[in-house]
Amino acid sequence: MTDLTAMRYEILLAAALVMLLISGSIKNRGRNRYWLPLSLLTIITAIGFMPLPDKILFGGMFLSAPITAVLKIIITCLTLVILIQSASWLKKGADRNVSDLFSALLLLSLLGCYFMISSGHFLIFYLGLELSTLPLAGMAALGGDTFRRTGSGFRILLHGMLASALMMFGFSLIYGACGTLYFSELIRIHMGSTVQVLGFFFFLAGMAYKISIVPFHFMRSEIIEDSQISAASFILVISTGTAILMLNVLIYNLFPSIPEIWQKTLFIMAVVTVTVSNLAALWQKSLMRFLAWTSMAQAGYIIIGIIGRSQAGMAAVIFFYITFAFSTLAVTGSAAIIREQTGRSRIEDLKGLYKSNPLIGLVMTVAFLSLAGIPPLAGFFGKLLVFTAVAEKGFFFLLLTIAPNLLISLYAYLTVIRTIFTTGEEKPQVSYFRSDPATRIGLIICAGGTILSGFAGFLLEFIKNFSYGV
Amino acid sequence: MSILILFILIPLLSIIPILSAGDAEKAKKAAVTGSVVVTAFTVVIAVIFFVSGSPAGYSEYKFIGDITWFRSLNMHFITGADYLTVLMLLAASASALAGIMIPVRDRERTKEFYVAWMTMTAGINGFIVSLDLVMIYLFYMIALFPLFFLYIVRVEEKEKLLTVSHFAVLMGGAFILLVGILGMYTNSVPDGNELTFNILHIKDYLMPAAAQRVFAPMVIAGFGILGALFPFSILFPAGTFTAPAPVAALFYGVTMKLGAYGALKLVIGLMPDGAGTLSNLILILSAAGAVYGAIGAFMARDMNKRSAHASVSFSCVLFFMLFLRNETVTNTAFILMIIHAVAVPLILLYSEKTGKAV
Repeated sequence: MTDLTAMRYEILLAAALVMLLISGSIKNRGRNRYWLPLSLLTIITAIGFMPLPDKILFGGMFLSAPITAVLKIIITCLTLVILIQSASWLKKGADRNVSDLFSALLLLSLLGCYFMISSGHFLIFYLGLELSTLPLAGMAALGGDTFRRTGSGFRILLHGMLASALMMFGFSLIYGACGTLYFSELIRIHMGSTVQVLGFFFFLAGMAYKISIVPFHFMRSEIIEDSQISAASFILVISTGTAILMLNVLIYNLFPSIPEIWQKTLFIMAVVTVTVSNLAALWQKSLMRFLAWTSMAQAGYIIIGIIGRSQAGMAAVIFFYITFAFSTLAVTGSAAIIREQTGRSRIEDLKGLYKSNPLIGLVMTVAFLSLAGIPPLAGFFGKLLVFTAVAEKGFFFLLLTIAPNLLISLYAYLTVIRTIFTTGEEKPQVSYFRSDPATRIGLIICAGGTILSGFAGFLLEFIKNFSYGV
Repeated sequence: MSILILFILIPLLSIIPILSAGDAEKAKKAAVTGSVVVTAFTVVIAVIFFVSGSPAGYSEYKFIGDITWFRSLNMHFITGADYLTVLMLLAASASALAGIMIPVRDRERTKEFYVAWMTMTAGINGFIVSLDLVMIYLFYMIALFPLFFLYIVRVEEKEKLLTVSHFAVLMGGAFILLVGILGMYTNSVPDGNELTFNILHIKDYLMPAAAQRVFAPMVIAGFGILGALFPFSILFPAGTFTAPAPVAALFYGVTMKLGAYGALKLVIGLMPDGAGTLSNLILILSAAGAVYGAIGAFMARDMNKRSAHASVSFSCVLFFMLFLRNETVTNTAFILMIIHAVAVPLILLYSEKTGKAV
């Protein structure tokens, strides 16, 4: 009988999901059981840190290696933070009936991410991708302004379908040219024929949709703006993040024979993405839209690390992702509580935020500075590692094209920070409010991570040691 | 770990009493105490340095400490001091002490003001004592970034364009410097060895001349922008015009001189071939900048503006002296630097106390 201990994460998460659904069906409608998903996910996270055997299951379809365990731990911890930050929204208001549904969809999407990470075959990868994307549409459409939220859900579906179609076509071409979709066999095949390269491009286009790399980025900002903020956080950090991490792993391992092709392609995509997103961010009026564009720019920086095509580059990408995730969650957490307490969500509503709510103002400032890459915050070290990885390969032209972008993005972030710190006679738009303990814990974790992870040299060594197992 | 790390820790630790102070006066007292301690510590270090060693060994680094940060990047927090470092520290601490005596007009957010001030001081000191390229960049940013919170967040809409452009140019310089530093890193050791950010190792190896000629201009551009080398100096006085007097004092007294000091440490010290190729250009630009600053100072009708223009001019003179690449001239430049670093805050202090604009 197959030893399924290597599928511990997936089995536990599926069990948690079933428990959640059963509990949802037997409980009294309207009574909130927010603690159930939270405690289930906490247990899974805690168990996740226990050692896991290296295994190949189902004839190579499912892989369990040190790196897959590390990636799963990272995204599970971040999902836990998102769930903690959603507490306030889930516990009260008109949305209380959707609490269980939201949590179940969140766990379902996370399960999809797990399968993507552990896939050893493009089919499992595809199924994981679908499983992680489809629940997002439901999550985004829950609660609040029904028309806009539903629109956002439909957009996610449409976006997901386009990504799937392109990727499926790519897989077909790769299968046609190589005769297999098993990663273990693809690694040994020397790619280079037109069909194989075409297959790679379609695969890349599908992933680009998922990550929202220019020119596959359309509807992204609308999706993030109109979705429920917890769902938007999940899309920005977990869904996009898993896709980036997997692109990093797959492109490095499966397409080593066509490095020049994907390096050049990613080079152009990264520069265009970073430039377009940073310029677009300058004109945004809505905070979540601003965040959508700037996180696309951050994705562009992460792609630069992939171009480095080295062990150091891979570790740098994962480290950058962690720093990005903490900073982004700090902003989305703050935006969520501000929207919930005051109903405001425009950038200009943050005027005088530091005066009325100094702690939230500070958390947002720290997060934005980290995203801008200002030392000694974590974002700086993330960028430094990525840039060092590409500099070692001699891509100085790329760095020189990125330097003005750092300035543009800094200007965009500083404009928002300036708004937060604006003083003056007029009353701050957001008046003082007391946030609930869960939100505070969530924000403290994110701000702490943003400040401290740059000092955690051991974290990088830890990731680097594990990325050898890919 | 080196004793020099205290130059960074003392200002950072003094943030705690500033934050816990009951009112603005107490916060100022805590900040002044912090500055006095840093200055006293600098004097002690200077005495130990100059008394314990013979003049022949002054240019060797002492008090070297090494803390590993990112092992896989070979990135360390290395500190060390030669005689130029000690002189620069004296200039920095004296300037900071004189600057903090200048009263702050805006009574709102005094605590935040002194927290940003102390962070800036820690950044300046860290920049001076660091012997690792990334640490130099890191402290360069910590020395500059509080400027944003010290005055740029408060400027009026009509002055916004100039001040924000000035700050943007400074940050742009920092990003070019970062590319230059990464270039130095990739050429820091012979092929096949582990790359390093350690200045002492790079100095021992001497980078290939071709690489020096590519990356020296980037590092010079980064430091030249901070050091107000012509034509980067055009935005300077107008950009900092709205800065409160103490901030202007520290910026013109010390921060700006970090540009010349950084160019000496990284370009003349580590990339002599690159510096040689560029020296004629730098001499012309710095001479032009010195004249431009002097004319600006002559025309100015306000003490803040006048000292800004004069400092721009002085900073260009420093670049000129350093790029003559003569040891005696370099030593003279450092002595002048200390005098200027103390004079600027004192002039501004006098101007603020007496209310005499010119």
